[in-house]
Amino acid sequence: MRSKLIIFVGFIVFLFVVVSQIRFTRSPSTPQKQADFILENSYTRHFIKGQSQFSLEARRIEIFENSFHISGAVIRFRGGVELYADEVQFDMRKATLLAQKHVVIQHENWKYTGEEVSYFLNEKRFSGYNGGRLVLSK
Amino acid sequence: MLRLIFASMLFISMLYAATLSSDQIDIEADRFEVNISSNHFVAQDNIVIRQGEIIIRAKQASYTRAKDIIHLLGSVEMVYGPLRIVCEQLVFDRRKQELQGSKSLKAFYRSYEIEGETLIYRINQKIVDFVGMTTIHENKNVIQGKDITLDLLKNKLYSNEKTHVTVEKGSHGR
Repeated sequence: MRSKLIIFVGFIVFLFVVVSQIRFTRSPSTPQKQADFILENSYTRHFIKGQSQFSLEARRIEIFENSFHISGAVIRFRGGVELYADEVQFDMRKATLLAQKHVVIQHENWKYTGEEVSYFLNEKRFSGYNGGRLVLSK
Repeated sequence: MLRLIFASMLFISMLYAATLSSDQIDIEADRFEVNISSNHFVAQDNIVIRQGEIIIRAKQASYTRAKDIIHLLGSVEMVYGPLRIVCEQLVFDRRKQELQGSKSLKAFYRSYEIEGETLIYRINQKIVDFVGMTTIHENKNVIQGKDITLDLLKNKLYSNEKTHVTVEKGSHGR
């Protein structure tokens, strides 16, 4: 009886040693690029100048070398087009905006709502994916 | 006098509200391509268009602001109350408030099944003109005529003066 108890305790100790040696490794996450500047709660109006010009208000703006990551964006373009989205990636080299989540684009007589939009600044056009809705008023 | 003014104001506001809702057009689709500078859009796949009580489904739609016309292609279906139109091509003129259907055209209205070459649906007048040779099936009856008109308000089908074919609901073969 005693020997059985010793074996059982020994087994438990052995298990504890084995389990403590196991390292729960995670797959290495892709290193996130650090933004050069971060503007938080920046609901002041910023003017983006250069090849693509627009005014920008946002909750958070992360500025990278060739791109912006904008959260809670309100973007106004020349000609009166307005874009709202939860997340916007602005690629300065390609002059494109990738807007995601609760995207609204509106102009004089129409309003587009969707979840994913690629906006091509130079061509003044956009593509809406994964379902969208366009309302035309007279 | 006050009652009359109040009633007329209420009538005008109701009329205004009705005009607003019918002026607005709502387009749902899987994909959109919108050109802002030319005010042109193309919508693709699972398109549902709503204007007032009118519902239109199609595979592709394109719109140009300058003409204010929507072109619909591919398995087009329009439903408005008891009227259902299926065709391969439909043109929606928003200024005239007219729908023009063609190619593999069929219209279903109550017990009538109407086949024709082209139709023009005048939304405000609630009149559907079938242009060219038109065949009407109603149960076992078949009527052929040219340029037949369906009046949705009067619930009546009638032809032009040349053919003199008149089918009135309730009086035909029942």
